[in-house]
Order: sequence, then C-alpha cells, then structure tokens
Amino acid sequence: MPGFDAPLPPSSQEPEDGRGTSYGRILFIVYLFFYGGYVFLTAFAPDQMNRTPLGGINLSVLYGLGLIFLAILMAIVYDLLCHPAAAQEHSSRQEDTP
Amino acid sequence: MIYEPSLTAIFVFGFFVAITLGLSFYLAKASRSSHSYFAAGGGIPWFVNGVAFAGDYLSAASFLGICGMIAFYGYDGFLYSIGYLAGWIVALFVIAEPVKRLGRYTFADALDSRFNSRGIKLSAAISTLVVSVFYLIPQMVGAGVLIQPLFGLPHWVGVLLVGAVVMLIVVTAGMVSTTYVQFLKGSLLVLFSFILTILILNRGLSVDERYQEHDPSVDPFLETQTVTTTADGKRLVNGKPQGRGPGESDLWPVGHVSRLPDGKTTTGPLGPLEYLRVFQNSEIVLWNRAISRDDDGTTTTTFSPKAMPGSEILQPGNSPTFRGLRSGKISDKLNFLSLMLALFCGTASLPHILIRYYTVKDQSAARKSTVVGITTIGFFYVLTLYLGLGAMTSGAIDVTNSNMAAPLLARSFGELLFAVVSAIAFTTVLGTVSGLIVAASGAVAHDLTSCLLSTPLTDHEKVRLGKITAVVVGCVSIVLGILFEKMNVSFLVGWAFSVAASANLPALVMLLFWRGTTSWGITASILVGMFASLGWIMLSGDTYRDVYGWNPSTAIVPFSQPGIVTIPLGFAVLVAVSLATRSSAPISASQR
Repeated sequence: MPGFDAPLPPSSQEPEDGRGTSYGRILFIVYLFFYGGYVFLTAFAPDQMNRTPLGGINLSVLYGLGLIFLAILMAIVYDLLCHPAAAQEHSSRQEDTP
Repeated sequence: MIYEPSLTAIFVFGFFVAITLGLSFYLAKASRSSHSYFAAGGGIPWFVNGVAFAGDYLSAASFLGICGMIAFYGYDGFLYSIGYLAGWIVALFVIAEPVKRLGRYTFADALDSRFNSRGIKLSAAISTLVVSVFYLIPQMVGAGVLIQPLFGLPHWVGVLLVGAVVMLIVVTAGMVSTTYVQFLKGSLLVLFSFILTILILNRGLSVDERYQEHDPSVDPFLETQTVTTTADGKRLVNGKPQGRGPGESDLWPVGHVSRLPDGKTTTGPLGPLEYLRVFQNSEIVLWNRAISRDDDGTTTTTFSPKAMPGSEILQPGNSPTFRGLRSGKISDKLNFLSLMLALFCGTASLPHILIRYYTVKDQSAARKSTVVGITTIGFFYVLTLYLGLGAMTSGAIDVTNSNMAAPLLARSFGELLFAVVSAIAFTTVLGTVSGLIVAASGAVAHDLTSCLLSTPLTDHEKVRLGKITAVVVGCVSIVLGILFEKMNVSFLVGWAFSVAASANLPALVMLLFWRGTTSWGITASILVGMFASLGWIMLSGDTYRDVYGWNPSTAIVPFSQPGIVTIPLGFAVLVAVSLATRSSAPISASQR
C-alpha cells in the first residue's frame, strides 16, 4: 500500500480557481433559492404542498425529490464547468510567468 | 419485541467485522507518519474519497434514523434526507476547494492559515471535540439497537462492541484504514439499499388480511398494545410478563395497508412513481403512542392503531418533531426553519467531513470527490423514501423502536437479507464513528498540542497521542451511547448539525469572503456559536422532556432548534469582534 507516507505538502501551494469560484457562487445562489422556497412553502403554505401537479404525486414529494436530483445535476455541471476554467487559468498563469 | 438471535446474522456480521479489521491491520503498514495517520498522506484517489464521503456521512442517523422516522411518521423523515443533502451544496460550492487549499490536517489549519493564532487553534480544537462527541452519541445508540436482534443481547453490549472495534480500526491505521472501511461501507450500503428498494417495488402494496374482513363501523381499530414498566423495573406487555411462553405476552409486529385504491387487495409490482401514487391514494395504519404515569411509579405506554390516508402521510407534520408545522404558532414554524437552516449549514461544518478534503492530493480532486459524494449520497436519500414507506407497510415493524425499521424491513424479505443489511448497518456505524474519532484525534494531537505545548511534538509523538485520544474518545462515546439509548438517532444528529453550523460555519465563510476578518473575530465566533447553541439545546423543551424528564412547556427558550438564532449570532460576533480588533493584519485579496 504505497503512497500514504508521502512527504507533507505545504499549504497554500495551489492557486485559487477564480472562474470556478464564480460558477460555484452562482450555482449556490440558484440552489439556495429553490431550497429556501421549499422550506418556506412547507412552513407557511402547507396547503400548496398538498397539491398534485404531476403524475398524481403531491408537491411535497415532487419538490423534495426534485431538490435531491437538482443537487446531483448541479454538482456534475459545476465539475464540467470547472474543467475548462481550471485549464484556462493554468495556461494563463504559465503565460504570465517570465 | 423479543428478537430471536439469528445464526446467519451472527455469521455474516462476524464476516464483516473480520474483513474490516483485516483491512485495518493490512493498511497499518502504510500509515506510520502523522501525515499518513491523520490525512492518509493525501494519497487517496478522488473516486474512493468520494464514496468514502458517503460512507462517512451516511451514518446511523441516515440509515436507521431516517428510515425509522419515515416508517413511523411518513414524510417527516424525508425532510432530514432533503436537508442533509442540501448541506453538500454549501460544501461543494463554498467550502471544499478553499479548505483543501488552505489546510493540511484539520480545518483549524485552514482557519489559522493567515494568522498563526493559538486562540483559533484552541477554539477550533474544542469545537471539533464537542461536535464529534455530539455526533458520536447517535452512532453508538444505533450500534446498540442493531445488536439486539442480531445476537439477542442487551443494547449496551452493542455499544461496547462497536466502541471496541472502532478503537482497533483507528488505532491500527488511522485515516488510511478509516477511508477504506468507509469506502467499503458506503458502496455496500447504497448497493443493498437499492436491492431492498427493488424488492419493495416488486412486492408492491397489499391490504393486510385482518383488514380485508374488517368492518370499521363495528370496531374502527384493531387492538391496542401496551408496555408497562412497574416501579420495581418489571416489564409487562399487554398486562402480562413479556415473553413467548404460557401466561406471557409479546408485542406483535405492525405496519399494514388497510385500504388500496379501487378496492384492490394487492397491486403486484409497481414502478417508482406508481408506488408513490398508489401509496398516496391508499390508507395505512400508523400507531399513536401515549404515555401515562401512575402515582406508584408505574409507567404505561399505549400504542393504538390509527388508519390514515396516504396523502396525509406524505405530508410534513405527522411526527412529534414537526407537528408544529400544522399549528399556527410562529415558534413552531421557527423551530422548523431553524432545523432546516442547521442541516443546510451543518454539513460543511462537520469536522470529520472537512478532514476528508486533506486525504486527496489537490483542489481538483477535492471537488471531484465531493461531486461523487453528492451523487452517491443523493441517490441513497432518494432510496430512503422507499425504504421508509416499504418498512411502514411491511408488517414487520417493532412499534417500540423506530431505529429498527430498516433491518426489520429486510427481515420481511428473508433471514439472509436481514443478516446482510444488519451487518452493513453495523459497518455503517463503524465507518462514521471511525471518521469522528480520527477528527477528534487530529484536533488533540495537532491543534491542541500546538497551542498548549511550548515544544512541538515529534511526528511519532503526534501519532501516539492521536491513538491515545482515539481510545479516550471511544470510551466516552460508549458511556454516552448507553445513556442515550431511547432517543431517535436522527433527532440527535440534528443537534450535532446545529452546534457544528453555529460554531464553525461563520468562521469558515467569513475567512473566505470578508477581508476584515481577524483572528480574534474567528476565535470569538467559534466559542460564542458553540456555547450559545449548546446552551440553547440544554434549555430547550425537547431536552426538558427527553433528557431531564421535565415538563417541556416550562423550557426557557421558545423553540428547540438553535440554528436560526445561533448561526447569525456567530456571524454577528465575528464581524463585531473583527471590527473591534482591526489592528490585527487583515487578509489580503491575493490570500483569499
């Protein structure tokens, strides 16, 4: 089992991925909006959650399952967005280096 | 209920424990330095780390607690699934990469990366220990719950057993063995939960035979069940001594459908959405619990059946925890908002989750492993809805113990599946407890010693101290796991999330996003957030009722969940103290 006794790397060695961070903040706000909506509807408008808008299943279940699938989808999208962003960031840093 | 010990279960359980310990002893050779002991040398592949995230996070609360809560009360348990997963969004989009970039062993490294402050290290270490111990309690309770049906042994034996095995795992190979145990456990848990879900859907829904012949106009409900504990400690079931012999009585398994749509008596196999739709239009028998205490010290718990429409069961507000959602009281609404806020903010503040970012090589690997973690955990949480509803209608539930719903559901499909699921659930506890103990060990050996000792410890001494801490924390958690036997594990974890979110999240977020943050601000926010949330919990109605045995209406704080007050309080204290101590060097833009 090699590889676990490698020398301790110093912290703060890697640069921050600026564009990835921006994507992250945007996606975070989008998810927060949907999560906040779910929590407020559940707390203050439970009657709305009784409705069955799709497939005979109530909004509580649909919204809850939707939040889980949305989190998975956004995580995958974020990773895909970060790939080119990280690569571009890396190449521009190399160009800036004298 | 009296559980018959199962030889198959004992064999499978022994096999799982042997594999787990064998893996730990094998990996011990690869874990000699403190970097490998506390952070696996940063050498864990991102995919393995991602599944290990799931193994770390999907604790007894997720598997036993949520399934039990859904099985007993319906949708309310699923609220935890949603909240627990949402917390990963904060971890991925806000915390993961900066924490990896700024730290090395513990999240205190990240907080202290620009300050070199003893105060930060000390407060972060204390917070790690407190949160870890809080989180350990429900895991140990879950372990004890599992041992009862497996071996027919008392609860405390299970707690002791899991404590002993975990201490062995952590002491032998630290984070390396912990990671691979969690990887194994995460994979098996999701796989077998999926298999169980397939079986539930394939079985469909059926009306219980007793209800097919039953005339509700004559007798609206079938019989009630009672459990009486006399002043001298004797336990009576339905008025007789508990047992299976002549003159004795035992609780019978519950969980039935009393009516299906269109007068059907069985549905046959159903698809995932069809299952939910049919369930929503059916009528299910749930069990109410009422406790009465006599002057002579006798306590009687009466369980009475109540047929409820599926549409109501699939709405929030059936459980005692969330009953307030159906009331007009603003304090009840705030209690709910507070819990959901704590779940959202808590994940990214849990020390045992944060240290997993140091087991991979770079930020990209940290991000990718979080994505794998979210996918695995999200998939599992979708399954919890089916596992809970499947348990509710399985006819196999112990009305006195919600935490046993998932294993008993498995038993309704056969002894072998019960054995495997129980063993996986036990490994679930092992994985999470190992992670928590490694986090606590790191906090003591790395953070506490660096601020309390004038001479730094050598690498070897750090590992030795980490192992000693693992044993001490393991012993403490054994004692607490025995004391808190009767509490629902999901409920207890909700508290751990509140403390973690209040103590740690304000400091982590403000360090990353506010240039004016100072070391004093971080230290103050951790301590105030932690003590405020702990104090709130201790003065809450839930604690009055469940821990002290007092009247909850006399509680000092207006609602039980502290997050909505103590998380903003942590932010406010950090800003106020940072502004008051601005002479400390601010963080430059390039450092953020």
